[in-house]
Amino acid sequence: MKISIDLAAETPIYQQIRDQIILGVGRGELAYGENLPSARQLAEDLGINPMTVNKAYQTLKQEGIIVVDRRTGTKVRNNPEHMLESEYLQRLEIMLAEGLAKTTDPQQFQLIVKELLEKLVEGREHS
Amino acid sequence: MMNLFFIGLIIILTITIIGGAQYQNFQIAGVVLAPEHAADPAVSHLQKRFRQQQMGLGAVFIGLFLISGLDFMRGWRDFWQILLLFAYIIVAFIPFYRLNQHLNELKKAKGWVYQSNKRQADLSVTREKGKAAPAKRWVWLIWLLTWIPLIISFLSDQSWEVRLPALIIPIVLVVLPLTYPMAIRSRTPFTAEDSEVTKTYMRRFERIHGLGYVALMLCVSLFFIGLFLMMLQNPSSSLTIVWTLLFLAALTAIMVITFRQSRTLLKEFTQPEDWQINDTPTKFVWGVYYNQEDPRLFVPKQVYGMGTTINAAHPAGKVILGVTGIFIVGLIVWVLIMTLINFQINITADTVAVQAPMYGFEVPLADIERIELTQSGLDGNRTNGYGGQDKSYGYFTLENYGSTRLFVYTENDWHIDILLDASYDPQWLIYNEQTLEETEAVYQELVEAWENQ
Repeated sequence: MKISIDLAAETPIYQQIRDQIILGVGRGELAYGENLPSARQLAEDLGINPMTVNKAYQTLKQEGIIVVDRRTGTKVRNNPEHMLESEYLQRLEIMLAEGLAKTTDPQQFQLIVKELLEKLVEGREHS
Repeated sequence: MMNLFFIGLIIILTITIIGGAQYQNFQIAGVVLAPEHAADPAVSHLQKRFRQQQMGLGAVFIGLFLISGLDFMRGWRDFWQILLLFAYIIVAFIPFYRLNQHLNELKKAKGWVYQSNKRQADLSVTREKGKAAPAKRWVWLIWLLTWIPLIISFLSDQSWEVRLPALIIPIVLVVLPLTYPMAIRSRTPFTAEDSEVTKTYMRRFERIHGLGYVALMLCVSLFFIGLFLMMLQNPSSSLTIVWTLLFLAALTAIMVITFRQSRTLLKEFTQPEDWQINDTPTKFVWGVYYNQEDPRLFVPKQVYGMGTTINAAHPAGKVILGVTGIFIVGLIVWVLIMTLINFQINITADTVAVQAPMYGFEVPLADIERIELTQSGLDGNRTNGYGGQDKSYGYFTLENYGSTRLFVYTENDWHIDILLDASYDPQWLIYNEQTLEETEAVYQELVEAWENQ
């Protein structure tokens, strides 16, 4: 899996890293339990401050996507929750509502969401 | 100190021959340039001017060094040569610094900008880094070799004056295994579509650099072991020069081979237009990295693949560089004092005192058993003291005398040999002046005082 960042983008760099790792896990490019490189090494390869990668990793840890272990390193969590937490469902609802609020065609929006979800699941099945 | 003349010439010739304005790893004198821009006539002109300045400086300093061989320089040779050596090391940096400045100005004028806001890393490649090079245990194993001089010094029952330098070798060289992980890792200059391609490149790069580092460490360790053994065996000056030259040749060969191999490897995997030239804005003040906006203490050096350096704007960096600076200035001052100040004898009614930097000595006349004025060459080894071309003083182990406290001008082979009673170690005190006449005068004065005590 490749991580691309844009130093000039408005989205903070740590957020870009966090988003791409989540996308990677969602698409199955990063398997459950798969090791992630150390924050220092990834920062070196991206030419950014290790603190930035650390912040991305800390955010992902708090969100329950990855686990950080001093001995075994950083890994994608290999036992994800069976049921999604209510806080996430709330956020998802807001995101979907935001989409609906911005369009005059709810059917088309529904189709877009369905396609996106199918694409992610399909990518996961192929990997 | 006997070899200072040759050491100086070797340093000047090496710097003059190697240059430093070559286009290597997308850089000239620490300035990042794309291959097509490095071939620009304006750049070639700057490189040519740098070479001319460097050759001119080399010629001037070699000339100044040769002056020390002339007769009127007697008594000043060591001071002159050390002064020249330090001056050359500082002055030789000026053309390099100017080239760096001119290239940066040229880049600005021509609008050659390579700063990209887009960065990419392949996680599967990043994760594998540092695994293909020889394992860390090998470099630590080689480091263990550097303890051999200390072990030998204990086995051969040497004094602490010999053991101490032997102990310093492994302590100083511990920096090599510690920096090994940093030396083998590097940002891959491209990210191929297929991760396996980038991985193969990265593994081969690490093997080349890892083996190069191991060879370099082996070379440095063997050099110090050999040098130490030569010092113990009372070496001829030519042997240490040959050994040092061999070491420098091996070191250069290792570095050239490593860089060539890594360049060939890069060309094998990519086309020059695919190379990601990263022109990170850096702030260098007289060759020292100084960036208040950078929170890091250790930062990668501006010149690719040369390890890390210290950020002088960091509070800890200020302390480290300050202490190092004080140490270097102190060392220069100390060496200059040793070469510049001559020793003196002071004879009173009941004592004789020799005043010399760090090695001054006073003895009651009653403790002297014998005084002789003799003519002979003094051959031997320095144990702890100063041994220059003009004078030697401190503790020496000499043929026919054994352990001796020596204060002699080397051009004059007449000397006063003073044997002290058995409570002194060393028992011999050897002293002379720059000429036979002066030495004879001191001898008469000393004998008179000793007989009349």
